[in-house]
Amino acid sequence: MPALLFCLLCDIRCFDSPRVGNGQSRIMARAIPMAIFDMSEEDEEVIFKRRRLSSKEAVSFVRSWIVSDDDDDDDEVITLQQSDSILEDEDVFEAEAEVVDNGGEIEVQNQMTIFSSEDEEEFDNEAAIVHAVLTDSQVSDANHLNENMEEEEGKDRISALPDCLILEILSRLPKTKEAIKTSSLSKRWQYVWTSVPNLRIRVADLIFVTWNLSSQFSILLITNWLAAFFDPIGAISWNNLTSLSISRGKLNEVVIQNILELRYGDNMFLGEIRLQAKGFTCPSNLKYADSEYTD
Amino acid sequence: MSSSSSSKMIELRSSDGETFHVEETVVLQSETIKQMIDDDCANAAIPLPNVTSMTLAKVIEYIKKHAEKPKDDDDKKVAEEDLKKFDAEFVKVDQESMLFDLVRAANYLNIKSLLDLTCQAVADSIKDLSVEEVRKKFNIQNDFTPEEEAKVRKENAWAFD
Repeated sequence: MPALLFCLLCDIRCFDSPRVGNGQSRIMARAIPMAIFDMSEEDEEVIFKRRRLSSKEAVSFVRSWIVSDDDDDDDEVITLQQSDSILEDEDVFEAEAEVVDNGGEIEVQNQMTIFSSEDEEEFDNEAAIVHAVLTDSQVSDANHLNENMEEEEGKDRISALPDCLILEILSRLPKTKEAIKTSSLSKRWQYVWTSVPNLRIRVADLIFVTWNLSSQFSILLITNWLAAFFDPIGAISWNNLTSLSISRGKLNEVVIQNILELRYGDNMFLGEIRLQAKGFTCPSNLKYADSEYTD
Repeated sequence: MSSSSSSKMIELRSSDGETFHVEETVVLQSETIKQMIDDDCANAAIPLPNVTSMTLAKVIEYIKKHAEKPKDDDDKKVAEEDLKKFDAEFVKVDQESMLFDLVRAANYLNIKSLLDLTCQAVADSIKDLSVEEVRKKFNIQNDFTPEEEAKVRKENAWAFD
């Protein structure tokens, strides 16, 4: 008969292993589906056919196993029995794993989860072998994590990205305003947006930016933008800018030089540049800018 | 016959040890792997310790599709439309975590068009949401005290209206 049964290969990541006493400890691990095989039986042989996961199957789930220390077991093989399943899915009806302790390196072997879309119980599961190796660092990382399972389930993947990738995302928001709003998400996000390399801003918003320049972080932002804008390689178009004032901030000499040169450019509509020398750290030609271009 | 059948195959090995065979012409879309091939480091399987087999399978699906070459100009237009449709479907992943895995993989493998596509997809999913909605969507823990958060908002109040 066509198989309603399938077997799932999982990447198992241990994230906690509290001791529960009596030589027993509990291992909690997150299993992430990696591949799926349809199983069928023909002539007493179990046949596996690999296929893509459907959305319903592509769940990750958390399991815990009780580990019993068997003292007279010389080769230190611990057999795990599933004790609990967080995923309340009736389809999951069996899971097994073996853990081998290779002097510090714990290896989870022969882990297998069998699903059934109907209540079919008759088949032989011995043929499936799945393994995942937990390295030392993974185990110790796991031991440091005190999150409970719910938190582990709802992991914050976006904040875990390195800054450069968060910036890739922020720089693709339709308006820079949206990027600035991310500063209030959490401490992780507070300053990331200040390095956004491009400027996407409406003129109506710009009035508030210039008005708001006493804010330290706007200065930081404007400085970055200026650096990008007046950098000949930079690709920012800011044609509607008619007024720009900066009261405090650091600009390097090249940027200032580029501002001064563009001041005379034909395709610029910049009617006014105010650079107040007070607070700037860039010396010589800034004073020049101050006396020449402040009205 | 098509030249692809004679193309050299490159073997890639994912972090979980699974191997994938991909035509060299296809895999050259990854600057990282291109560099390895140029440096003559691709004679054995190329290990990709940062990419799981599930993610790698998706990446290969993407670069294979993007390696298809239209025969003539008429074909080209159809192919472009087709590719657009494919890209739109490609980022509709079942699990949000897959999208972030793809962002990381695209960055690691240095496939610019895939990085553009996936980052744009994340940006599009954020753009119309309030700060609270973004937190909820991505499980971001707000570790500001109410006072701190108010201060952050005040600093750039114009962006929050």
